[in-house]
Amino acid sequence: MLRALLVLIPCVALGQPAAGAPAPEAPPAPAAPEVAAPAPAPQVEAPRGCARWKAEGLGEGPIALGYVEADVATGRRACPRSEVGIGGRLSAIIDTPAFYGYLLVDALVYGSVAIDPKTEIFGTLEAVHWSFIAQNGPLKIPLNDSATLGTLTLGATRQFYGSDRYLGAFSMRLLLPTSFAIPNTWLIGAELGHASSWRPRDWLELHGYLGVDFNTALGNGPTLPRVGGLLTAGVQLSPFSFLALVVDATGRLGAKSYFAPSVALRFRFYRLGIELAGTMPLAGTDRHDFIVGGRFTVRL
Amino acid sequence: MKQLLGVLGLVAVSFAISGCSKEGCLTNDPDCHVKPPCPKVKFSCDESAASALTIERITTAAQRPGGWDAIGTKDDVLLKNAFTQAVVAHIGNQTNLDPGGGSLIDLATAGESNDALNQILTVTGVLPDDAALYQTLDIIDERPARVAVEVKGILQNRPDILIYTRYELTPCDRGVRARTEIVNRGTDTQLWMLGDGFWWGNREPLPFAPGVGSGWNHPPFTLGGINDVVRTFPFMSANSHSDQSVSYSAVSCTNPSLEGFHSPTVSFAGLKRTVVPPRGYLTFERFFAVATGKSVAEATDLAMEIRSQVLGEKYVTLTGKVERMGAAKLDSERETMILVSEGSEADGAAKRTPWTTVVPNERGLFTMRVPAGKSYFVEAHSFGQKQIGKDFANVTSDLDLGTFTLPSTARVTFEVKDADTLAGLDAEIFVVPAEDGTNEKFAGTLMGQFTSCSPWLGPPPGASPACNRILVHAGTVTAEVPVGNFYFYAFHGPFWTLSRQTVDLTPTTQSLSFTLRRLPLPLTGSVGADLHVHGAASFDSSIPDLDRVLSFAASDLDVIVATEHDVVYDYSAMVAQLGLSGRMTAVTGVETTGHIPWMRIPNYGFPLVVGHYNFWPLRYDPLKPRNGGPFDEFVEPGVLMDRATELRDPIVAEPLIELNHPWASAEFGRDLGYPRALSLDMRKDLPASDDNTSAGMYVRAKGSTHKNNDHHAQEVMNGSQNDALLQYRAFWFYSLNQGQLRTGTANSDSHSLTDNTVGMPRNLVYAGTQAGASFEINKFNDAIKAGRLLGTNGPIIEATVEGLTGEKTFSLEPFKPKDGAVVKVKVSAAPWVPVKEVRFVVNGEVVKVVPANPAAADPFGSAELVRYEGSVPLSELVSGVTGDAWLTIEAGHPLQLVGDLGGGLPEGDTSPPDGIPDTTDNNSDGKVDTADVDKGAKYGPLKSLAPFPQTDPTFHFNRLTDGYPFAFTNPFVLDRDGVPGFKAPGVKGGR
Repeated sequence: MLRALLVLIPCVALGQPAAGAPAPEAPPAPAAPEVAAPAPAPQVEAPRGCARWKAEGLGEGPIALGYVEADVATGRRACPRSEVGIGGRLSAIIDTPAFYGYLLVDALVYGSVAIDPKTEIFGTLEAVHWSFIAQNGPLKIPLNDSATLGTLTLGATRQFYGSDRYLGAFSMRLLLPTSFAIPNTWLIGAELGHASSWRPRDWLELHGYLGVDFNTALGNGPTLPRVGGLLTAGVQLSPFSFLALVVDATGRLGAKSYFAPSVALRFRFYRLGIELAGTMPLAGTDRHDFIVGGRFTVRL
Repeated sequence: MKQLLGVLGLVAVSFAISGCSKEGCLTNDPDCHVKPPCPKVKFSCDESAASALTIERITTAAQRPGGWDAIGTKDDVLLKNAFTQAVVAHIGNQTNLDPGGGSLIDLATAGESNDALNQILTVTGVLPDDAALYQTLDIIDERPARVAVEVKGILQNRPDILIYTRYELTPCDRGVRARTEIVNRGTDTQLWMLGDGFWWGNREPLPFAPGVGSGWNHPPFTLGGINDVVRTFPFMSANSHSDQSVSYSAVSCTNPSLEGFHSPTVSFAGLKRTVVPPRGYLTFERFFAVATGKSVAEATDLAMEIRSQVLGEKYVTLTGKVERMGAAKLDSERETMILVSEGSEADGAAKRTPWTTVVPNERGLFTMRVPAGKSYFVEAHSFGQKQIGKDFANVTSDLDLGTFTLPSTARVTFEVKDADTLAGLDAEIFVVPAEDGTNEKFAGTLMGQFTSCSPWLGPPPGASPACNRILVHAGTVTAEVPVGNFYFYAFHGPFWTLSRQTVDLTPTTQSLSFTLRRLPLPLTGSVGADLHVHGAASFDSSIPDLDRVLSFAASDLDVIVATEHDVVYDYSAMVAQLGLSGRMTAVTGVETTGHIPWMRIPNYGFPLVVGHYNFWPLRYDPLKPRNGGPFDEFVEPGVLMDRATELRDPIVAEPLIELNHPWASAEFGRDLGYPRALSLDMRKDLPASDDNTSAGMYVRAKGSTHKNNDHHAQEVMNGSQNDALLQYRAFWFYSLNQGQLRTGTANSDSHSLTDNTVGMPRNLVYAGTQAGASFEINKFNDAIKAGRLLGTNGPIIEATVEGLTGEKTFSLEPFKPKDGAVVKVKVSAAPWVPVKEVRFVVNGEVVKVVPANPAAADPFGSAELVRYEGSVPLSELVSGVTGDAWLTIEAGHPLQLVGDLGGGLPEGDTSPPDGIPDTTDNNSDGKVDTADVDKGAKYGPLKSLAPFPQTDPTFHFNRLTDGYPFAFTNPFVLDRDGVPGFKAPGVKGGR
């Protein structure tokens, strides 16, 4: 089963059948616009705005490069998609005067299923949460002692209104206590938000996200409940069906507050979308020097 | 809406779950208590013993546990049962590395004066901000079950990291149990190494930790390389290596091992390094065992018992016997140490795992516990050398190891008398291998620890005999010495004759008699004073008070200033006990010792401390923190001077302030001298005020009435070896050239019989007062401040310069020399103190060197004391100097050729010269250049002189001090320009 899935994903990305699967009766669909699968449920009217897009495999919505667990507080797109992907995130805090250096690498597995044209469910798992910390001057943690399973988020988005240019959706996300990163403690939380997208042209999207999130700890230690708020606004320019530039600005209030611009390049190769992104806080209490990430997504 | 309700429901459930069964104080509930530690650990005792459990605040000095490291003071908390006494510092009672109280500062067995613990403090790493800063202390009295002290606080400067520790004693505990809880309430991920820092201090208890190739031996490390030396070990033990019998052990109550690192200065033992993201927490439970004992075995046995209870680990008891024909004693580490290691003799030490060491009782019997089911190699050491070893395979049950027969020694009685009065003298015997090439044969160590000595007569930092030295009290002492051909030197200070006998010892009883004579050297009007000495009250010394004061007498000192690290101390009682009050004065002082780096300077990335200062006299008060010494962390020297002034003995208007070892190398990242901490550049003049440079920091007053450079005196000579003399001297010359007229001093900084010979060097202070009952501290201090002081380890310089009103002796008081003035100099020394040359130094530059009569024909005689006498026109010396000048005169051995190739900031390959010598002529090509520098370095090393061969007249002096003769006068301050006052010559020396 796993093998079949591994074979299927690149095949789907290239628009070709997997070995053993029946050959397509027709040549691959043109690059844009593509016909999305699965087919919408007959009782739900397809949102017209979501179709105003340069290419099916090209990523959309706010840059999914966050400062906290998994994809919490990264915003969310308004248009449902079915996709699966892997990604990585590297975040760094280098505070030499304080003798503090922190690198965090997350290997992400994520996916979403558009269960109808207005609704998707999605999830992100930090499959490997690996931190390297050099603190207290010379002390460092042995590398093999700090790789753990990270957190898992599951969520759903539902469009509540829209037009042929403007879309609005509510999103919620649950942070599930799967991580072993915190000794003796597990995190749980939730996020509610509203995603919007305005697409005056198929090469231009203005997107935004407003969300609040909450998390707390389970275990014998303190719960330390924390609430955060996030506002993201940005633009995606897609001059070509294979390339887009995204610029976002994010402000967050919470245990860590920051104002941070993010930049991403999004590429498309058939159904494979690639996103290379980076962000750094310009103001606030967050100490990150930078966060960079990459995502490889196959549109299903 | 249903989805939203679902989310809210989940959140509510999580709240409900997370509200359950919180541990101890992790939630920071104001009424919380840390859980009682180590519930699986149980000791038994009879009912009457169990009823002895108490907890109380210290209100009188008598409550403080006895022992030379006892520093419990008013308001500290004493926990006590029939077996253990422990003191937790009250909040605000700062000592050593503890920023604010709450650390364990005394640990001793009940009813005995054997506290040898400096400090155990909770830390999460090695930086200052990794130490717990406790803010509240609660006493928990739940007798008869338990008593406890609970301290709560934060990590220093990190208010979002909460930390709680509970120290607990139950009725039959042989030690203290502790539990620490720490929570990361911040927003950044932390790396914590939660555990205990053990501040051994050096020359005190040493850490012993089982591990392959370990035991007493631990990999050396620098502050930046600690991560590379972190090891795991089942427990850690330690014991005093002096005449105070106490044994300690630290063992986890939950885990099979501890993680940490060790050195003679500090150990760390705790949990493994753990990444703790926000909201994570750690808990750590451990037991600090204490037992009366002369080795680690006594506490290690307790650790084995605890591991048995906690982990189910089985142990066996090994017993045995040691014999030595004709032995006077068997029951100290000097005579016998048994080391038990897992493995076999064939494995070699590098592959064996040492588990314990034991010292037998007075009958030679010993017993100890080790894990069951292992094979062991048992070796017996005596007088610093391994003598015999045996293999024991697969030890599964208690075992009698049989008898270990050690080689016999000679029992030698030494008699030392005054040749004129025939009275018995307090003296020091130095034992030196007589034949070239036999040093190695007789060399020994305490199983590889402390200094190597040849012969090794006892642990170097401990009581006499120590290393190769034996104290003689009132003319006689008996000691055991390994057989061999040795020189025996009898020493009673630099102003007496030296006597030597050469004896090929056999394993018999022998007597050696020596006579010494006071030499007619020109000492009139002076007192011989060592202004910088340490004893067991310091955290880095374990020489008992009796031996310490006896060593002062053996060196014929008149005045000693007790300058223990961070604690005021008073030797007067011991001086009186030894009957020395009539001729010796002990002054109470302190050496402030910065431990916690905090100070930032330009162009340097690490925080620093301000180094060490001596203050005297201060009022000795054991009911004050640090016995009345000032809190010396986190402040610049000026503030420290203000604080010390407030704590002075009221007999003086202000204490004397001495800047110690101004350019000593940092130890463990802690600078020992303020100028070096600032990386002052001697090539530049000091600013008049703070200009935001390091030099500005040196001259400024920040929140204080004193300026940071308001010390009265600064060390030019520190230590018997003279190994940093040229650097301290360079800094003194710089200070004088800057118009900072500070008295140069000469001190031994002795911490034991071994590291430095006390009184070598010393100060001859021309104070117009005498030691003993009539001693006047104000006259003494005034003379030092005025520069009426000669620093010397043997030569005596008499010098005058003709002034307008007559001949002037050296002092810091400027005077105008008369036209055509002549400098008259006379240098005298004991026959065994070679004086090869006399140097004249003007404004920091040696302007004239004249040879002296280097040595008397008979170094053990009493003739040929005068080595040089002559006069030099002052005009010759100040030729080329415009304006005011200062002149000092030096006598002794020629100085080494040195150069300044680097040392300034920034560090590294581009480190610029800083005006301080840093490199010797290491390839002996007559010049100092990059060819003398160690590979990969920008500059250095600055090597000490090699030991002198027997053919050199300095051989005898060198065997007693590891150094060479040197003396210097304080300056003649020459007001040549006629304008009142001294105009600083500047870095160019007025040339």
